Amino acid sequence: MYRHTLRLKNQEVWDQDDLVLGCEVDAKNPSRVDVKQFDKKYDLQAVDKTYKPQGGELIKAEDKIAAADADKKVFKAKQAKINGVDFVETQCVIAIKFDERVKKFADKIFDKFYVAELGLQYFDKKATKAPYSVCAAKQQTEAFLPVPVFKDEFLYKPSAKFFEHGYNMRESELNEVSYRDISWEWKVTKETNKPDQLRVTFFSTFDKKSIATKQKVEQFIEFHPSFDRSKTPKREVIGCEYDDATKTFTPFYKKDVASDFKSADLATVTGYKT
Amino acid sequence: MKAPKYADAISSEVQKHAEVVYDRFMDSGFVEFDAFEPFKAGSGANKPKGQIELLGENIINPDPKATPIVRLTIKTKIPAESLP
Repeated sequence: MYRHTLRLKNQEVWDQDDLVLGCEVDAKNPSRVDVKQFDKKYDLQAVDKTYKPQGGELIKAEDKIAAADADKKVFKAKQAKINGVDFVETQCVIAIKFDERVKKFADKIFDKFYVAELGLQYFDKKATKAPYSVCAAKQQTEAFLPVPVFKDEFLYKPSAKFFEHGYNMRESELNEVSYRDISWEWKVTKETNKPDQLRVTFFSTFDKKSIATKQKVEQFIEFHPSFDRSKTPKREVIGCEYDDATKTFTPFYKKDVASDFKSADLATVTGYKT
Repeated sequence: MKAPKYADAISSEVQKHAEVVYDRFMDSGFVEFDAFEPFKAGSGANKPKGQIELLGENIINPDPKATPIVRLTIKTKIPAESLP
């Protein structure tokens, strides 16, 4: 019996609610897939745990949100030879049905970032202890649990994946715009060692004489954060202001932006000489 | 003959699944581990590594009344020789 283990450590310390899950796959019988949800203090690395959980190691049934996927037929451990080496391949699925009961926990669990610890345990049915156990990842894999949405919401959501959209902007048609004699360019790149962070670079070309009063130029990108899956997602803005008087750049970030910059008439921008 | 009835049911079922949308919300978290000495980092340098991969999907059902599901898939490859 193989038990995939997953600890999702909630990164919002003020609302800590870790999920500790075990998804079991039988080596021979695909119908024996099972998902257990352990108490947050349960040690997934401990090798002296019995296959059958002891008292207090599982969370209460009314608090359990994870279950085995309805489609069990594909989940069976199998032998596979890869580059001349024999491997055992297993796969499991942990499903969280967003039903009325689970919705009660939604504000604590969904729309949250977690650090995921992945592991594996192997239980021999005849053994009373776990003879083989690994915890393969610590502080390496980040996970985000979204609030599940229905299809109609999915279709009109403006930007569910900011990082992906932002990254694609560099190669899409939106990397350069111009208005009269002003042109703007921006580039969005991912940090290779920080997959959850983006670097936004702005470029602009304009004649300073065309700016009448303020020698300050702002460039910005609007986006809808990935975690806001509501019907009316709030905009956020990342930008940079250049002050020609002091020759300084000042980055800025605004949350909960109500106005829609894209629909504004550029001709009404203050300070621009017409 | 109940064949037409079954045919409708099968057709309906296929249609239902065909319209399910899977929205991948998480990049694959792929890690390797020392399968032979899991708690002694570096001891199995010349031996094949085990692999664990984590995927996340958001299942959006076409029926607005159906219960949506968040799915976490874990795939594992373990060198058979490392197992007890």
